[in-house]
Amino acid sequence: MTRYIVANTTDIPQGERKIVELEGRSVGIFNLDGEYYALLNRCPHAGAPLCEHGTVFGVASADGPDAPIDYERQRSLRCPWHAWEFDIRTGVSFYDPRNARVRKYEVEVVPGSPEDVVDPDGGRQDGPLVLEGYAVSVEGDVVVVDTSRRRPGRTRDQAERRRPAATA
Amino acid sequence: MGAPTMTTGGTGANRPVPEGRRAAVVDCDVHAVLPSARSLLPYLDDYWADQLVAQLAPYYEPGYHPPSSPIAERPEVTPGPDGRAGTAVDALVADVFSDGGPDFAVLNCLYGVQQIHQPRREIAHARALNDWIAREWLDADDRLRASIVVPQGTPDAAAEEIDRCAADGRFAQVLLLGQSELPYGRQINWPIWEAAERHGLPVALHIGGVFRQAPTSVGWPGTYLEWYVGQQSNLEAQLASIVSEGVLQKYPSTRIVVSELGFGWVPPFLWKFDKLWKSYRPDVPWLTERPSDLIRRHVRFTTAPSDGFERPGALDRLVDRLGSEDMLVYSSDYPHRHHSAPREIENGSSDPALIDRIRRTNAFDIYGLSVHSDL
Repeated sequence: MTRYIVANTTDIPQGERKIVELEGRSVGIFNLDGEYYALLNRCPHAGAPLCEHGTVFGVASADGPDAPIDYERQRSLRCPWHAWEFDIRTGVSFYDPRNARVRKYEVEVVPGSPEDVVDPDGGRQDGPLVLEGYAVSVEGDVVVVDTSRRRPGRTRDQAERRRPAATA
Repeated sequence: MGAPTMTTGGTGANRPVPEGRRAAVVDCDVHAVLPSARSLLPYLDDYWADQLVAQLAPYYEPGYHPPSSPIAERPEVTPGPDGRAGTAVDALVADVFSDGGPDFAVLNCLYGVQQIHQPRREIAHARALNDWIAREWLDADDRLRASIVVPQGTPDAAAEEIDRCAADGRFAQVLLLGQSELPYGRQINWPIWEAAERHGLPVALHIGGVFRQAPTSVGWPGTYLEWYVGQQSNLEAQLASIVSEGVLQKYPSTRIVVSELGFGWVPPFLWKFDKLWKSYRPDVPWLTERPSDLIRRHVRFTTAPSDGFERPGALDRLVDRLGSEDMLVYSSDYPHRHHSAPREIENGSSDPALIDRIRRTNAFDIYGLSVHSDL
């Protein structure tokens, strides 16, 4: 398990995002009303920089063509190239959950303290800015991204259960 | 000929055929022609009959297949007393049910009541036309079935006409024309879908139009050639509307028979529809599966004109691209003439099972028509 400090919470204001490189991969971290989400910055369709230029959008669902449209803001990320939409919380697409998904990373916010930062035995590591030779200033809470694969490949049943209502 | 039966039921390929019977061979698109406007006089009430006479009996036979043009009639068809094919039931029956013919034929009468702009007049003429079909055609041969002609300008009245005619079990589907005043998915047209589903009747979308506005998507064409070719894109627009507006969610037993509009254009249309649905899904959040999946389940296409897919192997390739063996149903489009004879479509496949589906079982799925097994 590898967890990287990627930002101070103050670096990613509400509604904003930050793109970082972790283990050679570009990753986007979003702050939506104090909830943080991280996705691979690459659309599985055609490789667009999904997080860097995607639009944070809501998700719409309706039980029928004459039923009310339920709309939940800040639930999806739409690709800048073809407007494919992914659940910003899970990286799963709304129209083809089995085959189109963006890698999701676990994010957490932890109290920042210099002593916490480096743990050679697998705790939190210095973030990418350090890797690139910059100093990390740690003040207050920090945003930490976990690059380990916590979820082995899902079974089909699991994927089904995780489908959002719009595609049930 | 065994006693024909008509059953109705939900959508789904390969529904079971009753014990001791087999799925009937169905010719899904045959044209009966109203000989003259005055043929309807016995079926109109006094008011509308006198109106018709007073107006010198305008004849609304549409120009979809202009008389004497190559497409209008095959040279070998038997003409009626007026010299035209399709105007007399005995001649039509002799031609359509000749050796090797189908067990049943579905009549699509294209007499253009839908082009009458006055709603009450359209309603009266649709009723009269359906009664004419029942008395002068369906009564004459129990192998004939027919489509219900509806006053498209008034969808509520169209639904009432479907209710009225469905009581006569010989009406096998509802006839709508490919070009309408508003796309068929629009909510104003839902009474038609609701009534068709209520009676378990498929809805045929046949080449033709109401001509209340330009008959192609882009305006008035200058020639018949442009009109006929242009109807294919109208059907793309209709299917896009029906799927996008959620008709197939709202009325999930709906079945559609796209008639005399070809089918070779369908795979690229489905591909594009799916492709763009992925980008615009939030516009139609009730649409929870790929448009192509819905169309494969709910929509069938008649085989005439076969547009080149009668060439060896061409039909097999097309069915592969469609992604379903359920989507084609046989039609002769009698008496219209196309570039190949109706049954030449069978040359397009090396798979006898596919041909059997097209001629019998796919039609059974939508019409439920069967005959005794020993026939």
